[in-house]
Amino acid sequence: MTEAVRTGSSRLKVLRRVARTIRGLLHQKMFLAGIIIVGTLIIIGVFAPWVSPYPDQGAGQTANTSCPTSAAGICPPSWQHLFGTEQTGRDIMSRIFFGIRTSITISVLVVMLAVVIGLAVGLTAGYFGGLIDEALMRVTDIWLSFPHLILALVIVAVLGPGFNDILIALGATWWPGFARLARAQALEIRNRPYVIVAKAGGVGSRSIIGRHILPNAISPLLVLISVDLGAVILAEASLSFLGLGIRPPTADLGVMIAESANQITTAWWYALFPGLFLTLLVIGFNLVGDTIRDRLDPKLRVDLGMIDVGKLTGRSGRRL
Amino acid sequence: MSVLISVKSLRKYFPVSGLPFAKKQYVKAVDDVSFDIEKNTVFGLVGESGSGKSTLGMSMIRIIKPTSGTVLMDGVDVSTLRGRERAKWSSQLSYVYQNPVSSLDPTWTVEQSVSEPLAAAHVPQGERKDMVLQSLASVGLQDYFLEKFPHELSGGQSQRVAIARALVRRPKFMILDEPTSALDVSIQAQLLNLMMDLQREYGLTYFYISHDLNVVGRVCDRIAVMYMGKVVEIADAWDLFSSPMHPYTQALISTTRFKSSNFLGFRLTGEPPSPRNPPTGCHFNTRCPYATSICFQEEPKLLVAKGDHAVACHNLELVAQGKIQVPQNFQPVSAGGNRPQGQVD
Amino acid sequence: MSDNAELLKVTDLSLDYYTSQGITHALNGVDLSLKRSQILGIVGESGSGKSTLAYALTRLVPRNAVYRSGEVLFDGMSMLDLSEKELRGIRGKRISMVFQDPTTSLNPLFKVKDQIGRVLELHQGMSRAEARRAASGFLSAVELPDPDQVLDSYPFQLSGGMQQRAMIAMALSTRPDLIIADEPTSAVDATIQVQILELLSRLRREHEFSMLFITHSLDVVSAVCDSIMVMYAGNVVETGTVSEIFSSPKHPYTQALFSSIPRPRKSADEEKTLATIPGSPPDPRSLPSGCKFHPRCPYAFERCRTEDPAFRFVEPGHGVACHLY
Repeated sequence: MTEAVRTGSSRLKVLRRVARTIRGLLHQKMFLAGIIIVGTLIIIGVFAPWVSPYPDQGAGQTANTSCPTSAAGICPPSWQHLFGTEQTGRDIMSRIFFGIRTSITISVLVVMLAVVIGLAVGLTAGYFGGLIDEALMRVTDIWLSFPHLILALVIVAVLGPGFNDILIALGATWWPGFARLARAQALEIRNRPYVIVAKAGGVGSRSIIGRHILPNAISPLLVLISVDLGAVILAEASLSFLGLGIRPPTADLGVMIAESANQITTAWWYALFPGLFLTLLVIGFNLVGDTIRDRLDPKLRVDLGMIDVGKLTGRSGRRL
Repeated sequence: MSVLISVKSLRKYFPVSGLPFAKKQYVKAVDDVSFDIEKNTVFGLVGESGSGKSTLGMSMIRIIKPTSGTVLMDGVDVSTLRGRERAKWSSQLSYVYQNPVSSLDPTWTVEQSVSEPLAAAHVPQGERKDMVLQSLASVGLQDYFLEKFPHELSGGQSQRVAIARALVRRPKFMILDEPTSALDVSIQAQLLNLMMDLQREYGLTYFYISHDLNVVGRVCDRIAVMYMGKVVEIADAWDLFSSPMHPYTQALISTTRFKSSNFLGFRLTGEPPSPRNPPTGCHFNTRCPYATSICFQEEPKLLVAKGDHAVACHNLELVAQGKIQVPQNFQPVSAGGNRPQGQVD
Repeated sequence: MSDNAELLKVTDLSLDYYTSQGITHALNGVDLSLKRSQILGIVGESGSGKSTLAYALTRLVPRNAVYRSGEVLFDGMSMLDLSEKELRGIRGKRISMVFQDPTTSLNPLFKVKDQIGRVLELHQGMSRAEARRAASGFLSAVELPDPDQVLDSYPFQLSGGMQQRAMIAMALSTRPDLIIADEPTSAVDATIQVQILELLSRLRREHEFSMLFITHSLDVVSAVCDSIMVMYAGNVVETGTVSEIFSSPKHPYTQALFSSIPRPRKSADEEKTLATIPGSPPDPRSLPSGCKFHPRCPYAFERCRTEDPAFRFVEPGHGVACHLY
């Protein structure tokens, strides 16, 4: 960055650099933390078959003889099984990795489904208004009025547990949130001058919605997406915990937590590690979502990129 | 000289939601407005906030649907057109909005924004880029602007892009709604020159809406003055300034005197009335220094005073009956229309 | 203090904003002198620093602003050295501000009587009843009909012109020495603007306050100001009385500004074209070297590129910062 004006003393230069780094760091810490957590977990999940020590959902030879405390296969952490094994002798660490894979897969698919449906419904309702808006919003309200979990329970109870059914159940409960948000955005954007000019110029509704409204409506949706990813993971785990989701032998964090529930005192490792990773996953997504939101907000404010010099010197508008 | 646009008795009323059983109330944003715009001219519409000028502009090209009245373009009633005819009509006009930054989609590049009207008109893909480049060149923007986004442009540049977009389909008629109000004085001068050059070069017809009488007085050939939804005076530009007849016009023009003394102009008293509750009779009667009893009973019609100069004011009628003194050059009125076909009687 | 003493004296004021994209030099060596009962108009385009100057005088600046140099003396007190507490005693009381958009400066949630009354209670220590009476008086002073009804209204129930008058009443109510007005009539229609400007002139004669009137409009300046200061890119380029500057502007920017203002034509034959200044105001983050106007100046020569012209008085009361003089 060049400066055409004479700089003042060297104090000025130091101040400037310090101020800038502080601001940069502050911003990145949370984001970095979130990204690292989520990134690592995603990599683990995607590459689970290659990263896990016991690729076959944790099944494999165990040295049963090395844990004399229980007759069943539950063994505490050891060098062969870093997180121990569960009752059928399968390696917990591998199962956790596969469980992460399941959670992330379901979460991403569910959110994608919810976004697609939500955008379609919300943008259409918001843009056209009138009867279309009324009709679509009544439908949305009905869906929205059911508590997430209850609705998912009902759907799963009807369709039976299983991967696809969970997708449908969770997707059905999550789309209204996106629809609401998309509609609010559409309502505001359709009055903006560039939309009006486009309409006056004879551009068709579909084109306007797809090329003007959608790109401009995205940013709040991004925040919702990243936050919802974490929430869906939790919901899926809850369903599995209740026995309505994924069934063993498929690895799943919720299932593992359920199975470990009544053995917390004796097999602490079985309850601890799955829970720990589940928490990490959700926190990671939330951190990313929060920082995305903070990053987008300041962009909209006029005072973009300001450095809080006052924080350094203790007063506003201070002299040098 | 031929007429390009003919507005007849245009009305736009906005319903005001009140109690369920109360009488329906309306805000008469545009109330029975008629005028003609000739080809290749710059027609100005002046009014203050709340006068309805923006609503009038948007009603003329049907961004807002008028409540009643017709708009003829080249003799054709726009509302009767459908389908392909309608598309062809809409390609002949364009609209430039006041705030340049918000009239461009922030997620679109300059190239995309300027070529949007071409896409809507189904111009073949291959031809579009050249037309865009030509349009940009005519507003003084070089090739490298194609990939820029609106937030990378200054106010003046953004407005040039908006104008390039408005021109790209070679329209006949352009509505410019306060195109320079949001810009610095020095940039405004550049843009005004540009718009006038383009008008001359491409034979365009402009409808220039503004509250700034100085600008309108400079660039327009003919001016209509609007107050509370009605056109109160309409005349050729220099005629309006040298002999304004309606008291409101006189007050407005005296705010434009530009000199270094402390002359503040013919001062209107009071505030404009609320558009929901306009006064009975002439809407200007609450602030008019010449108001007489008839001004509180009847709304004056827009009638020809002399030549191409029409006014809506009772006092001028009263002159014809010999009851009030007014400026010379006044001839008896003829009812109906503001532009006589032949001689005034 | 004698009547001719300077109420406000600003010397070599420079202000920077620190942003992640670089340092913005908002003000560069600004000098200003304001006497009692004087109305000074500060004219400039965007980036000129005129609004920044207004807020900088009372330290109403964002956290990333740094006063690089200069002094601000208000009635002998150095504004840049006062504590926040002392500043609060001056702001609103001895120095009032009137802002451009009354819809954003009046709190929509409170009735007018609560806003103007509170100012009086706070700074003058009046009781509620006393404050209401005084407020009513000020509202009629700004020519608002039926002041009692205005007091009991919310801002949105008033028109733009009435809101602006209420703002002026609030600014007057503490009987300040100085009123800083930042584009107070830009958001208001021309016919109302005329009324408000005349009102301000009259009030100044009655109450004898000084005023800094920031605007982009030379018409407004000619209507209400005694003297004028023209700013460009953070520098003062010309100062003088209104009649002097309007009749013989010396700085090329001032001259160009005058000739580029649209004026109605006198006949069908008169040219529509306006004289223009090529280019646009510079980005405050990367200002040109030497005289900041040189890239757009028709008279620029070598020295203009390298040396920033000093501000000098070429005639009594008329100062310019330009190498031509």
